[in-house]
Amino acid sequence: MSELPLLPTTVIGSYPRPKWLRELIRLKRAGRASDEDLNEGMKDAAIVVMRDQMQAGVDVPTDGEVRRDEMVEFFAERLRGFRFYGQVRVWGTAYYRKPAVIGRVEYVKPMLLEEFTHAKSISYTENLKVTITGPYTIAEWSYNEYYKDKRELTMELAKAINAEIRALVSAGARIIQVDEPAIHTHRDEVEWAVEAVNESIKGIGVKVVLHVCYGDYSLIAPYLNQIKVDQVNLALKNYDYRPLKLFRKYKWDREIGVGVIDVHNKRVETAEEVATDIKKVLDYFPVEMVWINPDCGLKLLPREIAYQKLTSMVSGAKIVRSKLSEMQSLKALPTLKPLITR
Amino acid sequence: MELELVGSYPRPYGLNEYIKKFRSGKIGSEELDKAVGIYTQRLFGRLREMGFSYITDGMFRYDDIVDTVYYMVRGVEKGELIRFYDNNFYYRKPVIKARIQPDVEAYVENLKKSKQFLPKDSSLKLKAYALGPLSLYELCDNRYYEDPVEMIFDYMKVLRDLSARLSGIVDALELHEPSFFMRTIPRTIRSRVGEIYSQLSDLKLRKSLLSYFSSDTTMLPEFFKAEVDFHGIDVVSFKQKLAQVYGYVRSKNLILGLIDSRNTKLERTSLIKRVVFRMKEKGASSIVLSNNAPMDFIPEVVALRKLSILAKFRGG
Repeated sequence: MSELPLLPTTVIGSYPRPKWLRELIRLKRAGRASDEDLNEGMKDAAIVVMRDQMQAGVDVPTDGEVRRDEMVEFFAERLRGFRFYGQVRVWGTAYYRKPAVIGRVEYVKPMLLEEFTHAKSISYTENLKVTITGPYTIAEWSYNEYYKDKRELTMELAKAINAEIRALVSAGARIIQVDEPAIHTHRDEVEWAVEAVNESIKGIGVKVVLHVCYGDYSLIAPYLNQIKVDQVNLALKNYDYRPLKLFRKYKWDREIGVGVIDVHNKRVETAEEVATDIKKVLDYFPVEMVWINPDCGLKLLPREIAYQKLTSMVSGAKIVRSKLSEMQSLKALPTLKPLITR
Repeated sequence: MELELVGSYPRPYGLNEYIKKFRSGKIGSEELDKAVGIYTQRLFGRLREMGFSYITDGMFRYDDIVDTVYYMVRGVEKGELIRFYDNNFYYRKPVIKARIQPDVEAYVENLKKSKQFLPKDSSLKLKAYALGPLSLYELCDNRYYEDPVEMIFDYMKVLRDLSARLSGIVDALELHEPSFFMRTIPRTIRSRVGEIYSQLSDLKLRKSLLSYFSSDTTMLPEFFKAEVDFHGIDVVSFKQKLAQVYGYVRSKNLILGLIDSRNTKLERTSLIKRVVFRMKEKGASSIVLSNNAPMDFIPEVVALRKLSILAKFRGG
């Protein structure tokens, strides 16, 4: 495994699809391109996305999730028990295909293996991250027509996600990120949602990261230490880092991935701005525990802007690294080893 | 039994393409109006076939109920994208930086356009829709008023002005108050709910107060005291606590939200019958059946199936 620098930089997962891939998807839907064409396009797109991240200098890349139209839809299409009725609006003019659970959820076969093995074969670093949507978010963002309640559905999904993560680890994945953007939606469900996340990562002996974004962090913060992950990464730029106090209050002592890039704004942050923000974070957490990332996936930004934002993020981290190396001797460098056993 | 469409009907994907093009400047307002007209006419036709009486125009021109505020109030700016209660659905937070004043022209014009598509030979009655004052308080970013009660009363003036302008265009006004039962509404506001809603008491339009997404029973007395013609109850959310609701329904006109707008599972008619029977037994004056909340949260195909379930009860 390649060594990590101080303040390792990473992405949350998604990256804008190249325009030509979007056109290819349109052609495929219109019946004017084959499965083979699309598969080739997806593979090529992953290479392009990987190259953007390499040029920007990202330490821990992903394949940009180029194969996934949407983070819940992708898994619902591949697990048994789901069906789709149609598009649902999520805001403004944006829609997604919200799945409905109409039968027992069953894990059929690996869902991300092809994506991961390809990403591994084209990655410029061994420090490759693979992302997977967590059980609570899949349940929360689906209609439940079958299970007695959401909890029962979530626990069933946790088993399926666990099987998938095990398959990824067997194929060589060394950093798994579980995406749970919905985990802090309902105050009275957070406690068992945490249990479900733990169930989904049970027995996983590689580094596990939890991604949480947008919403009321005060709902999840009290439960954070019960989640058996090595790192939690969060959207923080959007909130001007105010929630940091909360995570210190609850004595979070594992790694924290700090969102320093606003993904809902086309304004490109400067490297200096990122550096200033990182320094603020270091008032709260020891440097060896801090990773640097955007607030969320970059998918909705124009590709050029996404690339510039990543470049600023990496440059900002480098500014802080150079100052730190002059100022102090560090106890330990960030590591890819799991911090806890599951 | 009368049937009513409450709030939005899922914006058809085809229409959304026109809205996207309009917002990015690729088509003009004339082409947009034409497209909205086609889909509105289709919706009205379907609702007539199913036997609905009071309907909205599906709110196709608005992204959500909060969006209507920007079409009727001066002094409000669009803010950040925020989750709409506990849904995977987001709205632009209204930022209030100046005194709220009525500016209802654009909103009224939109309703006039919708009215043109009402079938001439039908008894369909068109409703206007607006965000209720408590929900505005909860969902906005108030940077102007020191006293939120003052803001609420200014907003009520907007609703009065709107209602006056709607005479002859619509038959009813529905006020969406998803925050009504939320505990986050401060006591200073809760204690004046009666006075707040009395601002609309002399208006001639049929007024309904709709609450949804919450089953907190603390505010039930205030809810039923509000001076409106119809009280809309989200039966889906109150399902486990209906016994407490029954205590307040005597002599009230009710809109019962019996169809779950947030889940694709189809409702059993037996449950609907049971609730209606109990409400009647408890002395409700009149009962109208409806969806429990705006229907943006389910696909159009499911919304239609669900409304068809209600249609089984028309005239029953």
